[in-house]
Amino acid sequence: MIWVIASATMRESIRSKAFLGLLALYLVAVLLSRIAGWISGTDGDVVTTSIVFSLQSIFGVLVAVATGTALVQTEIQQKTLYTILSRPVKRWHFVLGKFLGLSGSLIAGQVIMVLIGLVYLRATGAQVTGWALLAGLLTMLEVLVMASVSLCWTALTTPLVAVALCLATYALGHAVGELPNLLYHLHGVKLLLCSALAALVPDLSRFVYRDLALHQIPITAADLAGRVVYGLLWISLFVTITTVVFRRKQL
Amino acid sequence: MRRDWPLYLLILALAGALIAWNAVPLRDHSLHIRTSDLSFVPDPVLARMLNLGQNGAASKLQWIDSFSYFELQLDKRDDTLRGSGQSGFERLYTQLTAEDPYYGPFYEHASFNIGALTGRHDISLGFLLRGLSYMPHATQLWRQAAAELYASYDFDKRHPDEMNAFLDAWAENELDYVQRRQVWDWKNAMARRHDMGLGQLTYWQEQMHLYPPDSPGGRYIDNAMREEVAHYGVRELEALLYAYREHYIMAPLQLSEVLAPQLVRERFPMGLNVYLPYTIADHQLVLRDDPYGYPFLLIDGQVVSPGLQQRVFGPRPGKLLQNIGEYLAKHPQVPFPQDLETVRALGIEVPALAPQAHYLFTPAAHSITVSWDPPPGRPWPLTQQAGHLQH
Repeated sequence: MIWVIASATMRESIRSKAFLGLLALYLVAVLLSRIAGWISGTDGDVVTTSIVFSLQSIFGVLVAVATGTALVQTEIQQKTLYTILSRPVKRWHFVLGKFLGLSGSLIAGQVIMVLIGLVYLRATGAQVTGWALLAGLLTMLEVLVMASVSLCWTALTTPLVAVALCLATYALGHAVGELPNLLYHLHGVKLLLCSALAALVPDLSRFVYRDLALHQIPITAADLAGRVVYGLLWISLFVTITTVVFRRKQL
Repeated sequence: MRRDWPLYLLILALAGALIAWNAVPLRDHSLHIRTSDLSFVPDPVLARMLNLGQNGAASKLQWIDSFSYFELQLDKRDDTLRGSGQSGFERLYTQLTAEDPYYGPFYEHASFNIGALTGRHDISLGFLLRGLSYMPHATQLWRQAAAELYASYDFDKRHPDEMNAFLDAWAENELDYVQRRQVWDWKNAMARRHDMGLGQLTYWQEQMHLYPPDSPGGRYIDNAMREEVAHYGVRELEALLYAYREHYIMAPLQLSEVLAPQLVRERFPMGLNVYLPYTIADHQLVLRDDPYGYPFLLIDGQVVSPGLQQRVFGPRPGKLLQNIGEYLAKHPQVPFPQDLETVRALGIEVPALAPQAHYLFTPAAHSITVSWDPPPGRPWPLTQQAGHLQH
């Protein structure tokens, strides 16, 4: 049953206007990225590559938030949720199926984005290496973590608030990576409190390998595995929280 | 449809007005100097936090945006920020290099803008060295840092050993063979500047490996090198001779007297090179033979390398034959002299020769040649000379 829900969700997500619209916008943004390279006063390849890598992350997260927050709400509004739950489907099956479907569509979107980006870079003369693919893989993981975050916030709040909270989580998630460089300002209780609060937020900077891949700085297999495990653990946590909240929800 | 026509009209009117409004600024095509306020350039850590994980792209875009700042500062030649009084370029590039420490142009531009524009070469060099700590194989950064050390700090004259060590570090980290050769060329050029008169030596040393020692090419190179070192030795001893005269207000009786430690230290404060005509033995400065194995001489107040004379003049008697010819032209009744004593008896000036050289007279042929004894010492093994001697 999980796979049925997942495949249906994936089809629905891929057909959604938000998904297709953001993908089209990504394409336009990638095409325009070369302009920054032209006016940079250099050969422009590094500048363009850097922007293309970032666009994959930004648009990927936007797709994750836009489709993730709308998923359950659409089911409730269209009353299809009641049809599903009236069948012998456990709620955790529903949540997991929804997340897997969402993940499938996001992975498909990310693969398309990576392909568009790399083909464009290659076509415009920029150097494309295998490290770029690894960077794309880690960005994909970042997007999946954000998808689980969006699902969790949607279960806890309304879709509109969930969008705002998702974007805030995204900002905080990248900020906590730099926090250790500022902690020396704090002492005692403040230091403990700040560290504890920061530990509650997924450190999204762990998925940012793109800036190093740009300069072909290698990443070790152990480092890569560590980052992947870290991402999977956060996804598991958010999906579990969503399941618990959804099970307690009066529908 | 008919009922909605006022709305369509309103849409058209609004769209037309807005498009026209947007188009107004686009009519101005003239060039303006753009200015950008860099007063708020955040701390690098804060900047990285604000970039939401897009440090690479954000740094490049901010860099491009800051070009407008450069335009004004390049004209003003002043990048002081209002309020804090800090260098705008320094703050900007500190942030940019923290956001993407592996992007070479940031360091290059930082060095150029801060060093050349504001004259803060210390900060400029700091950026380049920071870049090299991230990218030890970046040729452009090495080159720019070396140029900065050379042009702004006169490093190769003031601290030749440190400059040499810097160039060695560059050569060691340089991955491209052609570039590495250029570093060696730089080192050679530095040596040439440091030891004037040995300009061609490194060239011949390189060429020497192409020819066997006993081949015509090998002999030619050996001769060229010996000539250059002999000329260098003569010049260096003459320089000491002049310094001796200036310092002691008298001429030395022997050439070895010019090797006063104080004079030598003034001339070579960093140590003696192996091509000098003197060296240190038993804690004393001692004269060496010339590169051909003959001792340097002081003849008529001038330094002479007998080996060089032999090389240049060979068996030709030079001025003596000319002096005899002039005398015989004035006194046609006098026969061609039989020997040196006769020449002296006639009052003809006899140019001094090295002790190892002798005039040989052939009166029947009206000819004089110079014969040379073998050198008393060993010719220099020039192929093995390298490095520097100690004080």
